[in-house]
Amino acid sequence: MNRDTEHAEMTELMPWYVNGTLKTAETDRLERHLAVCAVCREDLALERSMAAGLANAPAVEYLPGPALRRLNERLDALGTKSVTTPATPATPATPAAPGVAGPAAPDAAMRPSPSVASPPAPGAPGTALPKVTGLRSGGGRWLLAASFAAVALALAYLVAARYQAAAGPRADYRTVTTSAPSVPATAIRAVFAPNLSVGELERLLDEAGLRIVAGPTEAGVYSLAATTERPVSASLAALRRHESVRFAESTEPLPSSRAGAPSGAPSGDAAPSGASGGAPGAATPPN
Amino acid sequence: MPKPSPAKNPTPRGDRELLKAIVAGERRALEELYLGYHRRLARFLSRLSPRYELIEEVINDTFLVVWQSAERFRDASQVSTWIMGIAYRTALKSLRRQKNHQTAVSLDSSSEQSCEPASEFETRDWLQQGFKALSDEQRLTLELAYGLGYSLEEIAAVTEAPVGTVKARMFHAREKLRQCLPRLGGEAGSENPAGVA
Repeated sequence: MNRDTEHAEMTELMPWYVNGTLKTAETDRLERHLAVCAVCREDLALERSMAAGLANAPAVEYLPGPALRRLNERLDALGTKSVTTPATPATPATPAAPGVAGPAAPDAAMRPSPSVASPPAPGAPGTALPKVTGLRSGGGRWLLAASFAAVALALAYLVAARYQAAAGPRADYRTVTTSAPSVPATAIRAVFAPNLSVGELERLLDEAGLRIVAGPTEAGVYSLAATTERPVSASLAALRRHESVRFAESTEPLPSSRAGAPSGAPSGDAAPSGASGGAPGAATPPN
Repeated sequence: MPKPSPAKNPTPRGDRELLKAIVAGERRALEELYLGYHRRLARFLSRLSPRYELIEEVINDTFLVVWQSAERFRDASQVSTWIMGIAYRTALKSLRRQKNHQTAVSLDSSSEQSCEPASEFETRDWLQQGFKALSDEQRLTLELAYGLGYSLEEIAAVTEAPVGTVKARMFHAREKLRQCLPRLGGEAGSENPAGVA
């Protein structure tokens, strides 16, 4: 076999030799070749540098808890039934309640956009209109059928309304695929002490009623959004009580101009300056 | 084929049982599977983007697909490569849409940039620079090989690409990175390049 082919074949084996998944026979072959080929030894050294560079853990550990909560919320909004005992398989197109338009395809189901939560077509599953056969027993049966129909329709609209409600406030679930990409409502920007553990950060955020929506940036700035109805000032205060919080600021001017952090916002000015790009002031961290 | 596989799930039977429970509609099983995979998925995806929103979106989208298509998992394959495969495709799709929308321009985004080798780069720097020069598929392939320790065949399964394509990606990735090596005395990689024995 000529030299070029040999080199090409040897070089193809290198990544798997480096990551330890190469078969024994090929390992032997490669090692025999390396013993006599300086060019390939050089290639191998380069391959090892790549591997070493990739082997280190990334700088930030992301917390699964909050993300999992959000996944559960999405699954709830899709009307996916959750059972603790084995039951019938949950197929993608199974609607949660009669008369409600369920996700048409797995792909559509991944996007909890308003199109999923369309209200049921009038007269869906044939329960909205009394059946003619019900007339056989006379008026009583007809009335019963009609009342069932009314209840079914009402229930259907109720569930649809829940869909809308669920899909509505969850604007922060819009992915970049939707036509109007909306940014999660960042309420606070914060920087934490580098030695703050993942568990401590999670507890801290839980206490303050906040969750991470972006970051950290290279400067270590996190964008946080509210998870409760608590006012931003309360969450901000909860954050600032912690010694591990190096910096925290609200992204909007607070009702009382005393925002805590040194701010250039003119005091006594009732109208907010409308700075959506971050609070003005000396303490603005690099983003 | 005995091989060390520290990055893979040490209890593959656990994964299969969880999938069966997921088919039956058990949300708790999905959560367990999620927690078991979250870390390696976050790590894997962080090679593509530093944006937490994107990473979480892809992970959650991945598990939505797992939830909805668990019954389609064929027992012959590995749960880990199946899940990583879903994440791989979801990530690439997500990035393509992002580029189309031009909603965010990040210097660390996956657009390929040519490398400017400079002698003052340290080991970590030239690798960072080099990484920016790679395509999404190349970065993810490298991460699968070196971050997660997958074999050639496993990566082919995850990326749904022929073995030859995986080999080519690894090869071209290395060649691109070679161009980013610090030049020592005007010769790229002439000496022991990144201080590696």
